[in-house]
Amino acid sequence: MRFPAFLLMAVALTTVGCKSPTKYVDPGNNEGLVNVDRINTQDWTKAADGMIASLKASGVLGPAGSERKVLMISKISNETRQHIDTDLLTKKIRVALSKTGRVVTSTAVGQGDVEEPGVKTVRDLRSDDEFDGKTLPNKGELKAPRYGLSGKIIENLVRDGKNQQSTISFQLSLTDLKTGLAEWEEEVEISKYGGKATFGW
Amino acid sequence: MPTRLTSLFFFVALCGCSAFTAKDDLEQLDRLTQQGLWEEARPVTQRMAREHGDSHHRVIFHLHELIASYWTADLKGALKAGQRAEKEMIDHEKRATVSLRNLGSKTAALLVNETVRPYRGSLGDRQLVNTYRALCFWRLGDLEAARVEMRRAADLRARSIDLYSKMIQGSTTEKNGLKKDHVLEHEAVRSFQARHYGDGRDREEELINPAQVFSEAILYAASKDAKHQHHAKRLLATLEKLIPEADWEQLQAAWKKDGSSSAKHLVVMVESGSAPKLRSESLDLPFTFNDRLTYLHLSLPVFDVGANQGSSLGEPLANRMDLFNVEMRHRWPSLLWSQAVSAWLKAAVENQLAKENEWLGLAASILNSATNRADTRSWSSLPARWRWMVLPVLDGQVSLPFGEKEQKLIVPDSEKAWFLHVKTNPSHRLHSAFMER
Repeated sequence: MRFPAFLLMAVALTTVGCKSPTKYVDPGNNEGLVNVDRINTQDWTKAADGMIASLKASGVLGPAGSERKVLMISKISNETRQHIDTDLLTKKIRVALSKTGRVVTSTAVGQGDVEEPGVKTVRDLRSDDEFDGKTLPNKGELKAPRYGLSGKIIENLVRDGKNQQSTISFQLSLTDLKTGLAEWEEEVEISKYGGKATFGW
Repeated sequence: MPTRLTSLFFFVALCGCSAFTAKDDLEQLDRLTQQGLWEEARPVTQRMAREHGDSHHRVIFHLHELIASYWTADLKGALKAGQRAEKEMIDHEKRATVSLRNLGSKTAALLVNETVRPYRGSLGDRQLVNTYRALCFWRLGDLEAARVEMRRAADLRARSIDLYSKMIQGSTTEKNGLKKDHVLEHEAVRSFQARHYGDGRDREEELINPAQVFSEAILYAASKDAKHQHHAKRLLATLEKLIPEADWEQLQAAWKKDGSSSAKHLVVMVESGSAPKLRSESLDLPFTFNDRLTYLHLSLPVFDVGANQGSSLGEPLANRMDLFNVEMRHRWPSLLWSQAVSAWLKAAVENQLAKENEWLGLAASILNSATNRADTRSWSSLPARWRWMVLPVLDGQVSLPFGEKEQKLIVPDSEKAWFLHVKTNPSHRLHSAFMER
């Protein structure tokens, strides 16, 4: 009768003693928590890195020093079982493209809500005499986007007993908005496999 | 002797823990929801969820808060309550196969009763949590988030077959002469099952809640995406298979041939009545213990058919009692077996204590009788029935045929197509929610 009690206490103490100390992790090096049923920071980083490398290698953006192309972020559909913010993917891509000096993103237009509503707000002030007209933007100064970035994030979850495998497919297209042609397309798949622990608290 | 006295001490302590302290609050809530006084019910559910946040019954309070908040248009509150309930349910599911917490609560349940275990909600409950959350997002205009929730509900729908088959198999089939087959095949058991839960047809589709499928179909049909439209059509085909007697052509007519929705017709999902309440029903099984014929006193949850069975207008979708009974039929072998083992253990403890000391035996017998009750916790704020209808929109208004007089509702924008979710009650207080299709 004493053995199980001792065993239970030992397991309980071990469980308490196993708590990891808080530390910084580098998601780029696959460090940090990983869940099968979630899109973790490492996944966003991996997907964005794959997309950026593919887009740069495609030659769509033109040679270094060529005229900057204006990019519009269109709809990135979420077809997963998770509530996600697709900016976690697009922002990384935008930042990387912006650093190449060949692409600039328009925040004045977009699918649904525009990122910078101030663009319109400032123009609405043209009729307000309280504002100095010289400080207001002139008509025809806004740049129309040449390219639109759109895509989908799809999840495929398969279960086998207590184990499950999740594959997240990140699909992006860069469309020439003048011609309507998809000038670049890429798909990055990330698969994770895991299951329930056999023993635990 | 000290070991047995210690056992008895723990036994008594566990009995104390099993008391369902929120009974008065729940009764007050039931009175309010049955009358359709959701505005008054909401603060009660919020207080209950707050006060019992650490209780092992907390999921049930979050479920009540979800419904009360939904019908009083506190959509953010409903989303939060649903999220808390879902998180608790998922946390339980993610526990290790051999979890110390589960072992502890299972042992306590065997010695006392199932109410000492945390309320985890059924798989059907979980599907409905995601469905109500989806409807909240839809009402807020976020269709993408609504579809995320519906995907979760659909995932649970698909998984329920697998999970229930595991429950049926179980791990142990024999305990000191108490054989699982003997218990399950006993005439009294078969007759109890048939009387209270009906005869199972052993069809996988039985586990599907058509109200959940209907909501999902309408949501997907509201999308312009061809894939979503195709998914909606597949769901409608599933509904036709599940309820062949309903007039599905009426619903299809509300959609134009190209799949887009028509503004002239309003698709309505009606919730009516109050979910019947569970009560504990006894089942005594003869059993030979120490060469002596004795009885295993089992307590099992059954539904009391309430007075408020809801409206029978429109086409049928789902009935809470049927859904519960289907689930019970699938859970039956595992539930009955755990009850039988629990009763056997109690009888053994009682017998052992009586051998040593007559008074201890008597005390154990009294405690067994006091704690021998089924787990009657359930999501009682759900309706008794879900039905659907298609109504014409005339002059920007729709007439709802509830009560002695038709009740008119103004459609938010008669140029657009809408889905109307309505809740009725005996006093014909209507709660409604319009969602753009």
